[in-house]
Amino acid sequence: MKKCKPILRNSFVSILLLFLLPGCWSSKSIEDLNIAVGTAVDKSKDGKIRSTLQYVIPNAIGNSNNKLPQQKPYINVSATGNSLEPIGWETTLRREGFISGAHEKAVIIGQNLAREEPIREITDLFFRDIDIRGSTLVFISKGAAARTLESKEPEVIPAIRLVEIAEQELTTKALRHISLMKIWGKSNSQTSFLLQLIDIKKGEIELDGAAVIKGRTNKMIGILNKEEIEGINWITGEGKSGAVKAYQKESDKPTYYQIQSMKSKIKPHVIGGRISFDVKIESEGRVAEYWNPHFKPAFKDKTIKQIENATEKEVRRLVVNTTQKMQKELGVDVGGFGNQLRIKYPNVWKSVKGNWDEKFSELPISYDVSITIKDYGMIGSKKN
Amino acid sequence: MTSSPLDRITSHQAVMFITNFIFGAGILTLPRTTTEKIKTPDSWIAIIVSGVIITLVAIIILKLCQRYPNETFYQFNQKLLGKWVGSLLSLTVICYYIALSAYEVRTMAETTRLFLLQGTPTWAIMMPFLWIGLYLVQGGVNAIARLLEIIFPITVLFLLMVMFLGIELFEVDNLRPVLGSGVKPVLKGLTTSSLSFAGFEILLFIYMFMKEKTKVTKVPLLGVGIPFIFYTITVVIVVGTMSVDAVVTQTWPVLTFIRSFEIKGLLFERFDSLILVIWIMQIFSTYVIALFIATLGLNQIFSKNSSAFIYSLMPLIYLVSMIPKNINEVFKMSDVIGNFALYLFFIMPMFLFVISKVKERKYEKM
Repeated sequence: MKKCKPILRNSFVSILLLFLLPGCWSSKSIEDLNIAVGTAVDKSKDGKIRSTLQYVIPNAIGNSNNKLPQQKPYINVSATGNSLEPIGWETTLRREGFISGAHEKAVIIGQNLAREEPIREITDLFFRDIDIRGSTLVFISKGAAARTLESKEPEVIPAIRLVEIAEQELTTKALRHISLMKIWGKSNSQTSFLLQLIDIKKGEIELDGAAVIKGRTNKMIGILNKEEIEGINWITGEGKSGAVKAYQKESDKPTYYQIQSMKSKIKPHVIGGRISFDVKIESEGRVAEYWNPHFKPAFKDKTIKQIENATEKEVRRLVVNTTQKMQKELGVDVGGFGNQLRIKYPNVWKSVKGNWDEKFSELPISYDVSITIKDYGMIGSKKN
Repeated sequence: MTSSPLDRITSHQAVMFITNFIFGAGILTLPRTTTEKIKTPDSWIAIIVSGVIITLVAIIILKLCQRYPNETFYQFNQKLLGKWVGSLLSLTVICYYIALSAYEVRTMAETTRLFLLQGTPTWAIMMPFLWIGLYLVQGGVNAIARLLEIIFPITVLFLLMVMFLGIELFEVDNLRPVLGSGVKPVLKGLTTSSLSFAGFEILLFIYMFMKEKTKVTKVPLLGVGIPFIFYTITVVIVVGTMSVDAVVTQTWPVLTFIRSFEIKGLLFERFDSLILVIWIMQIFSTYVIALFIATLGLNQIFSKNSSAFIYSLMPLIYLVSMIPKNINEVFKMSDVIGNFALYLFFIMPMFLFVISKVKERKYEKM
């Protein structure tokens, strides 16, 4: 074989390299993308599904110096259809660009729809889609879900704000945030679970209570209010911080215990085929506010004991109240009792798991609360 | 060329061969495939048990090879089984490796098409992969060994790092109760979990190339032991995060797991593309080794050192890899290949080992 001249060979290689210049085969420039960060799914008036997609407008973020009238950093696009996939295509008739789900942060489902369709089916598209991530959070809205994707404040993207509020989980009045992936496991094992409920107060979103999803049907059956969520958080021990009322008589005036840590242990017992539960709740914290009309000094151990006792009573009231609601009113187990039974008594669990929610309603549960106050801040006593 | 006796690898490189060959596309579906059969959170126990069994088989293979220190499986099986049966067995093994490399290429293309290059046609993803493999195999066993030494630490470190970054989502309760339904489900899952170790038989072919031939029991021990540890970690973390009920529904459970968390404040927030890009190297190494063994076999059966074999293997592998029409058929292909490997390399080495012992006795009597 004759050898090629170097110049010929080199130019041939260079021409081949030219083909690499256009770059990535399937690249899409960011200006052409509709980056969806939130989706609201509602029941429409004609009984179909109405879905609202929230797109971010990158140009409008951080342009506050402009004298021009402020443009909102998001736009909501909605359409109606039988399910979410045709709705997505429907919106492309009205707005240019591909829909990109890679930055989806929140899915909000209207209460009306959640009571009629299983959560697993409504969110099927989000689980299945390759772009949308398992860390997307799911919420239920009290009213129309589409309204939760609106805000009057400039420079706020409602879907992102919602996720940020939910993820900080500062108080025990909010539920621990639950992502798509965790819901998937619970839905498939037919476990009942809670989803954060949101509401509109004065045009802005607020986390307000929890939606109860029944395991067998995977549909929403009821609501827990904020106080009942506190009970749930004490039962599961999943709260991070928050406050508890620490006085019993009205004449004592407000005293509040600030939670610094909480732990709980659910212990199932099976004796002669009868199932019962012991829940041991422990918490450490401090006195955060102490109006103290009787001038009892916090320097004294006796005073601290009294406050601890009052807090324990209040926590017990919270958890018993929530248990009553779970067992008597809703007939579901959303406190993770079944899970502990499954772990400790797998064989017993096999026989009861089919109708666990019904069975759970009749089981005795006893609570043991112990609160430890570590300190009381900068004020130890008050002078009359 | 490939079977040149001067080409030698160290025991360390032999370990790399075994480990990288066992690691492959299988790990991406491992938590699902093992849990599917077992249906309890005990799949990690099945991995541990089958890891121990496979290590024992790998040691038997080593003992077998040590009887024929300067020959590969393709050569010594003719001594044990006769020319015709031996050649037939060798051809079966070669077919298996062609199918295996085709499967690896296809899985790589499937995952890449799904998660990385959504608009790129499958053939365009496969081509560079195939050609680079061809180039590497022509370099011989030493070139492959050196590449493996580079690939191994990168892939394994990143996998480990990403696995532990998701630890925040881990819930011990998902892995409990341990052996809640007894030992039975674990036994049921042993075959599938052993499948994940397919590749341990590589010693049959590379022993000939090793520099040190005695006191090398550590080679199969480490070679199987490293994947064994990583498999256990992967299954424990993924099942512990997603729960049994979720894992069995996921097409690519490991990728689902990596996509379910974001780390804020680190250089990267999302790790799925990164881990996939890196794991492609690992799939590549499995593919290259399979291709190498198939070529080696053809060369040795026909006693020819010609690169015609490897060039003709390329289109064949491409065609085989395009046989499955959809993802279900890809998974089926994986099952068929895995089952075949298990019976072939689990039973055959022991059988050959017994034959060689019997023959030895005969000679002693004579």
